[in-house]
Amino acid sequence: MKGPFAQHPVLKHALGAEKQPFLSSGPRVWTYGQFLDQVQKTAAGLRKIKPKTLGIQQHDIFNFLVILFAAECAGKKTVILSPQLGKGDIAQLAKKIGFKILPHPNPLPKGEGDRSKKKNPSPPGRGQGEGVCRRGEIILTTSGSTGLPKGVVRTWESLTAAVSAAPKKGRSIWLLTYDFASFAGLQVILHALMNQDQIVAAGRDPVKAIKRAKITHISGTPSFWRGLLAQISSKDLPALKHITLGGEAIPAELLIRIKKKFPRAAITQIYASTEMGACFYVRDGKPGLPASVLKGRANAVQAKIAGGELYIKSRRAMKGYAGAGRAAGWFATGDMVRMENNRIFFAGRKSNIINVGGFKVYPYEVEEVLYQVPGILQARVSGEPSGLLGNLVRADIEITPEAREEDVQRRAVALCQERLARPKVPRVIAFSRKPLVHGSKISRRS
Amino acid sequence: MKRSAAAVREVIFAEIKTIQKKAGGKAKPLTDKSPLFGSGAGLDSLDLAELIVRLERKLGADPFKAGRTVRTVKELSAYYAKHSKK
Repeated sequence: MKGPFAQHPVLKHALGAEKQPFLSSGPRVWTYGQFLDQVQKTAAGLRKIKPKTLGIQQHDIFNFLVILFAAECAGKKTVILSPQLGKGDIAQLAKKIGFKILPHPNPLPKGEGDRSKKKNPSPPGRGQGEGVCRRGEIILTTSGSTGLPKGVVRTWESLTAAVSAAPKKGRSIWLLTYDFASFAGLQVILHALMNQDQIVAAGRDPVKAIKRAKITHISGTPSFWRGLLAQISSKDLPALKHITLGGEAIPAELLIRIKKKFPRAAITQIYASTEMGACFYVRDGKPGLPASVLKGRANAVQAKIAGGELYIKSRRAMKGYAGAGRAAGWFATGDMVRMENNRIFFAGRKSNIINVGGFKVYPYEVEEVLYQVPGILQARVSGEPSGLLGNLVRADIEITPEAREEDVQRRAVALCQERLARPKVPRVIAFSRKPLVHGSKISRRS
Repeated sequence: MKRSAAAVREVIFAEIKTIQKKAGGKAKPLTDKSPLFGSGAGLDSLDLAELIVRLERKLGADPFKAGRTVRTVKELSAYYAKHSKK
């Protein structure tokens, strides 16, 4: 087993943990040994196929991880496609980047308890252990929450640069709440893998996954945490040691609620993006970033504010967008910020600004107020086209099961009128019966 | 079936009153001649934009998107009596 993985930047850390649980998804559990074994076998198969760049879209997390690492070991460049991407999006990406969708791979074992026959197992001794795993490029796709996804070219080194590998006594058990094919999901997976921890896939029912395993670490978006706090009963609350939030702006109100529910957990806020990688970790429990991130020119990650927008320059950044040449220098994050009391606060995404008769409204600041209204589970603020003013503010709201629409509407309007400038008050409120969160974030794609 | 002019007028009056109520304070007396803005119906441009979004949903048209200007309740009623699609 050691041979092919001893030099691998990620998998070498898993050596020695072969008997330990690596991953569970629903009732299925795989050990590190089963995982590494399968990577080796699949790599042998992939070395025989011609295309140099492979697109991977899998709906099963174990298959996905096996193929991802196997493709890399086989010297392929890989394009990671979220299971949520539709055929149209993938066809456009394939045209732009130039990759072959990996044909349905050899059936992979489904973990313990699976009795289905293994077809086409690689014959022993052939193909296996051929050469040492090489390090290839990897192309991630942006979340596409505001438009067509883009291919983001990264190296394995840049993906693992911010991950510390320091196995400790007592393994951590991570609940994976992100799409496993996203940058954030991969970061959690790489972190767990390089520390011989266990990953539990949250799937569609995180509460069930939490009840099943003794979760110690959860990393999730504010949308995820809001949903979890609303769904989970006090007796099912896991004894968390560590909580991570990221991916969306984090309101103070949510940080307070999480602290109350998990008084013993350390809380880390992460500022990261698919393009720039993990940039900042904030552990002081306050919203926003400390202004000190703007200093330190020698740091691996530098930040500046220009025109109200946050710019980042990072050694852990992407090489560039696929098919668009190498990116260098400062990267406009699209995150609009404001400075207050030596702290950088997020106002919202530049692309989501609503223009109400010339008045600029950030959905996030309206959502922050809405989340203080009892009964609101998720809220999405956007522009409602108006012939007179261009746009009005519209709020789509998902309420908790016990709440009543009339009460929520009345309170929401009253609180927004009290806290916000008139153009920012939602003029159209729609109650959504379908969940507003797709994947792990509020869907902004209309 | 398309609404009659009287039914359209009724919808418009009801919607203006809803918005006046939401804005708080006393609802101003409303007549056909009332100007939509200021001393008349007491709406500002945000209220009027909201009114039109509501009317567009109920009656299926937006005078401003069509490049028209409406100044009074009467003009609004006349526009919708002619252009209402619902």
